[in-house]
Amino acid sequence: MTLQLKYGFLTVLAFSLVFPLYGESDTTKPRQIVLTWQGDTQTTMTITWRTDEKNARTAGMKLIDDSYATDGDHIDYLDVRSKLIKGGWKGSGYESPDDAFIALAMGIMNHTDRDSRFAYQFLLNNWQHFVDHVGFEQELLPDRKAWSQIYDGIAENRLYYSTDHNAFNQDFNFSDENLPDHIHIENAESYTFPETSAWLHRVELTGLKPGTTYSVLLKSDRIASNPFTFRTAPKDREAFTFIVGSDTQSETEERKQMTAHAATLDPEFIMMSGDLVMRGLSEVEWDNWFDEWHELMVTDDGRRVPIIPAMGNHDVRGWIMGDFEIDAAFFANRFNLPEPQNYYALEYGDGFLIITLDSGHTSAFDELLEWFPNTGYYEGGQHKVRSSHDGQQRDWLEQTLKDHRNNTWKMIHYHINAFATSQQYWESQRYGRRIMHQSWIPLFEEYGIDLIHEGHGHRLKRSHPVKDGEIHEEGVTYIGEGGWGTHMSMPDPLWFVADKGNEHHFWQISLDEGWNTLTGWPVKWIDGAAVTGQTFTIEQ
Amino acid sequence: MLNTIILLSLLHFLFLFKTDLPDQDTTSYLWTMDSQEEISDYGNDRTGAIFELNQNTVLIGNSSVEVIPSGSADDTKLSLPLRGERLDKWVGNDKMALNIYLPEENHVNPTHFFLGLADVTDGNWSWVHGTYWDEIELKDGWNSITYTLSDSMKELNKDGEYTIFIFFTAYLPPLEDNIKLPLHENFIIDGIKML
Repeated sequence: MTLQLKYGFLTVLAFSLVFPLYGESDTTKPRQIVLTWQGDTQTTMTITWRTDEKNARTAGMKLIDDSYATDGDHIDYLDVRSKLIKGGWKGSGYESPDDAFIALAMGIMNHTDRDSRFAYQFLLNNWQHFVDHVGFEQELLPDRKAWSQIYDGIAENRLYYSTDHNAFNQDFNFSDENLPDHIHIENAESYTFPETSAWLHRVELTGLKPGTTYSVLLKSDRIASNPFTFRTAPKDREAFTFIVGSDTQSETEERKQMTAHAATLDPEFIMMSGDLVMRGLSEVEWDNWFDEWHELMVTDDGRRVPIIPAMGNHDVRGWIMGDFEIDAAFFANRFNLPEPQNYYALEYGDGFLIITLDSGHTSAFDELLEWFPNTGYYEGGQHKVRSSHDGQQRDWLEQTLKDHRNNTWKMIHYHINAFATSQQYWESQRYGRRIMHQSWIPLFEEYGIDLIHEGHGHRLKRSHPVKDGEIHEEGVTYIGEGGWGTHMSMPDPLWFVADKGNEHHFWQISLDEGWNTLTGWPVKWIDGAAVTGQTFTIEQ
Repeated sequence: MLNTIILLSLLHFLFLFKTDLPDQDTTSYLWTMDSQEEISDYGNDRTGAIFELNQNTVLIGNSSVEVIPSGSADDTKLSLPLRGERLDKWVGNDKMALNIYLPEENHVNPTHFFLGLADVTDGNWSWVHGTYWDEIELKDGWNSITYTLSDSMKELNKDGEYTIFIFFTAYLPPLEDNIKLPLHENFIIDGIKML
């Protein structure tokens, strides 16, 4: 007390000097922290976070802002619109398509009193409609990659990490100068993409030690996140637990409770098999999802849990055969994943193979046409469309399985449920299921996949081991079908169904020490509490 | 003395932002928008809108609700649970009315108002019907938005549970382009009653 009184004036003075620095900062506290693996799970970790940078601009924003500063406040949107419809950009006197686009953006800024970023995003989000129904020329749309390059205004973002668990418990008072040897620094790569208002930062840490817990502190300018830890995969076959589930799309209270509960189970990672949100290009929904993940997916001892996500139809505009970077922009840019990213493979620790597939949502575009006439199809409206299941992705899958033929454990997940437990969809096998059965399932059986997780059906199912269209002791077990908060139905009594339910759920999977036995069960969420469902085991 | 002057100035300042004296008879309203308890039941149907009590611009009762749009959602939505006493008041009426204050200083105010109704009895979800507003010429300040209910929206089971959805929407002109413009400026609502 005496000390406080004695130095009271100095304390107030010091606070006054420091506070404006924080109060006037151009950035915000790092948030929406997400951990993924792009490489080796024993020695790498990719950490992504978001800040809101008040003064940051992309190259495209700079072009619009510079034009606006000249005479932009006189531009009327309706006037520009009318000219472009009648005469196109050349006939309207613009020097380039970009100039015409910039004029449209400035008109929208004036109409809405919003900034260049909003105007660009708004035009981009509605561009197809502008072309199809308003009559703008397609060529007005600027190069999205060039326009999305960050031009200026991003605060310095850094990640500090250490194997010392107490490294950052001193309330962030350490300075960058004279850091102890055990604290390492990485400067973040900052980026954004056209569909988002977020400014994002990512660091891929490499050269880490297997089976080690690291303490992390993120700083954006002078503002620090709360410290957290992460854990690399062990070198040896230690016992471990992970969670697999899907269909968090509904933003229900159950979803939040289940995510919080999943963290208490101390999983090494979470596999999420699609439909994270309801509308794939809704920034509001993704923000809610990432905010919840940031807040709730933290274990009791402060460890953040990596996610291994697959795309669902709801994560992609148009549901099927979208462009990964454009129609699945949030999935593609917010999760930093191994190539080719829309589908990919990882090995957890000493060879627990995890393959993530794209059940036709974005992987169809650039594939060869020769297989198109013979492919199965999604029945979206009246259109037969190309699917990925017997094209490039199928070839990648076969090669990946060949390369990992000797891995003891192999698990695959994807969104659309090949083994649908709805009688209707099992019999009609629409939405790509027919070619999944033709092209994927034989590979699963040939290469001895141990466990498959599917989403989409909003039912709880576990299949008997299945091979060659019948129950077979050497067959593949399918679990699913999505219930992390969404509305649920009861599976029909189909021949392959071994366990079923209509409760919200995810699956808790554990391997014992030595990795001889896999044990799993559905964690059902009933009346606000976790209930353990029927256990299954798979032995090697 | 100085304190008194400051207090009087503050009161004067507050009154400048008050509209005419609010109507204190709230008995005919289903939602009075007067308490934190009431707005804790409000939802935004994944549109990111936030709802806060407001004591400065009030039409009925003691408070109104300030709607803070997300700035990125095509529609700003308010969802309200309709059950129990409110459902009793709803059934048998032809129209629903909502008071909305459109600030003059806003660049973009909502111009279209859709009302939807879903049956959520026993935890299920099924769409009942929706209706567009009875169009009037909107003005800055207070407006009364009315909806003529379809038969399926009127004939509800009094033992059931429902959710109503009110859509607040603006369009980039011209309207025939049919391009929705995300709202980003706050506006006020105060009171929903049946007519």
